[in-house]
Amino acid sequence: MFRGLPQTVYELSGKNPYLCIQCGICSGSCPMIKDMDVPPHQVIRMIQLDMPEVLNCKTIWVCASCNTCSVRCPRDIDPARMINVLRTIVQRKNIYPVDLRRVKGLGDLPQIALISASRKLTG
Amino acid sequence: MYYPGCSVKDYAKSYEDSAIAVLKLFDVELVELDRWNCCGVVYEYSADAVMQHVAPLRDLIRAQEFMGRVGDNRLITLCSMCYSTLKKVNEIVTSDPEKLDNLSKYMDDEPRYNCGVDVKHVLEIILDDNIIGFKRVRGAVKRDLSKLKVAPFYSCSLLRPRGIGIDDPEDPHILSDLISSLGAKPIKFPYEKRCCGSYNVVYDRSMVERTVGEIVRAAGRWGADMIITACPLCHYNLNIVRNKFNIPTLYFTELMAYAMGLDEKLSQETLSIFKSKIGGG
Amino acid sequence: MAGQTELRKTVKIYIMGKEYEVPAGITIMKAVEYAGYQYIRGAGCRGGFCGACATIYRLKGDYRLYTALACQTTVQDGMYLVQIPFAPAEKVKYNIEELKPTGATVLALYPEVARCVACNACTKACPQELQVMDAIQMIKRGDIAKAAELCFDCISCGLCSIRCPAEIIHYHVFQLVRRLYGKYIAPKAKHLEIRVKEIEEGKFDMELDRLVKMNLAELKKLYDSRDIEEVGG
Repeated sequence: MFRGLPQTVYELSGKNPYLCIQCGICSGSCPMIKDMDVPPHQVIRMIQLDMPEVLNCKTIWVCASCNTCSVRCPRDIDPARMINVLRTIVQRKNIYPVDLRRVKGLGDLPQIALISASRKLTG
Repeated sequence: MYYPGCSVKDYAKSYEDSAIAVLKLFDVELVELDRWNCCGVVYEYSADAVMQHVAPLRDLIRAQEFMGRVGDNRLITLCSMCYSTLKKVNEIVTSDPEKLDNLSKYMDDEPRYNCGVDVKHVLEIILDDNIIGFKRVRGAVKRDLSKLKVAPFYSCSLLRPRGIGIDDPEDPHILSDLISSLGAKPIKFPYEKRCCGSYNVVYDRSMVERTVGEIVRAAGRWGADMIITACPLCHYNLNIVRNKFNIPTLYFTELMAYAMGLDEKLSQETLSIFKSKIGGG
Repeated sequence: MAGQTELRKTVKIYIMGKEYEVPAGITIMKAVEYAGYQYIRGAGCRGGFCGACATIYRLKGDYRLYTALACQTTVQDGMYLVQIPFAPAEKVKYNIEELKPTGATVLALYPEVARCVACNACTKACPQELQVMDAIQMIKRGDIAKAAELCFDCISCGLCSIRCPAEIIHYHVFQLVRRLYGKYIAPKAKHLEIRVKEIEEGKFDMELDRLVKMNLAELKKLYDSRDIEEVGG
């Protein structure tokens, strides 16, 4: 149906990025927005415009998959799911943003934190 | 059938101890699966994901094998992240036979999953009038908690996404109702359904300190003495700032256990928290 | 004589892609040497205990990957063999005196254990038929005692680590687990402590002196006439 990045994202997420009307509800609801370089609605825009630079942004790793955007999106395109897919695309290239062995203070964390972080950040 | 998950055996042991004791009061027995593995805690949304579903599916198969022994197809979890992951995988393999086929082909060392397990969170059991229900909860309360102001914190996995969450994501009420039925004063506050920051705590603790700081400060502004939650990760994250605002975060089952006089199941630290909060007001 | 005119049965095996005809009923290790190779790596005790001769093979017409110890497994017709003398892994440096016997300790030193997806490739690969995945799961939930029990017979062959998609180095992790268990969790042998104290106090000095002064014949006589007590008597 499409080409390039929008096609890959569409196939992997099952949601059509071109349905996004840039209303901004996702960015307005996002609890992690202050730590993101590209707000979620712009991430979707970059997918629409087939900009592979979106794979280098900090946003996709900061997203905590809280799904607040997903329950509020009027077009039901689930931005959290799309960001998950972008993470998967990067991980499948064997690129991980964090080296687990270099993280400090691992011994004080409950295992749920380390298990979920390693699942999210490493392939 | 009971699926514990890694946390409640270690970091969140108090969650398990208080939950089992409270449910026992209502003749509900949590029978632990004899063999289980870590559920993975994070659900992979990519359409072609296979490997990430293996761990939770293996647990569903374990439940399937165990079902006959207990005569019940319900798999109950305490940790809300485990609940969310197991339920999502259950939904995807039930609704997509091709995916189940693909997974079964890989997992040729296991029997095939026949989609007969029902994943439930322990709160669903507590608020189900056919099993326990708030009336019976109210009846079992032995202590006067009317001076205690408790803020409910739902965590993402209990409310979202729609269809998996067990309450309305925009206007949840089950934890407030539970607090009321225990005789304490529920403090509904605007950040009760916000994300705590989750796994970001591993590599950017300051980010999480900020997000939970906003949440706990808000709870304090609305008058809360303490916060209750159902997720071990939220418990850890929220407690990072407990001393800063003098608002500790506890598991909701610990509150229930205290209300029902099950002091021997709670740690000395937890008991002293309650005493100081109720005494001081 | 009948024995001499009998044809010995042979099987075809493939060592690193080359076909060889070797006698049936011998082990892979003997077959590789029969074919003319000399082991300078990948051989050790030759008794199934050291884990040096880790082997991966396929059988004709079968897509499945099988694992074995070369010194313990007999050759089969159509075996495609490759030996893995070493699974690359760096052992993390730690001081056992400073560690606590918890799951968090192991996860802090080897955080990749958190990546386990319960795929069971490790269990399938283990030539000792250990429940490798279950041992890793025990570590994740903090049950060091149970993990130590499950991994007790591990011979550190490395076949599980080669197959693991989460890139866990099972044998290093298990060694840490067993050390933590032995040092901190396993019940101490009280009678050993008492005996060591007695030795230090000199209770056995005279006896040891006497033995040291004896000649070989006297020692032999003493040894042959010793009391053999039954355990628990």
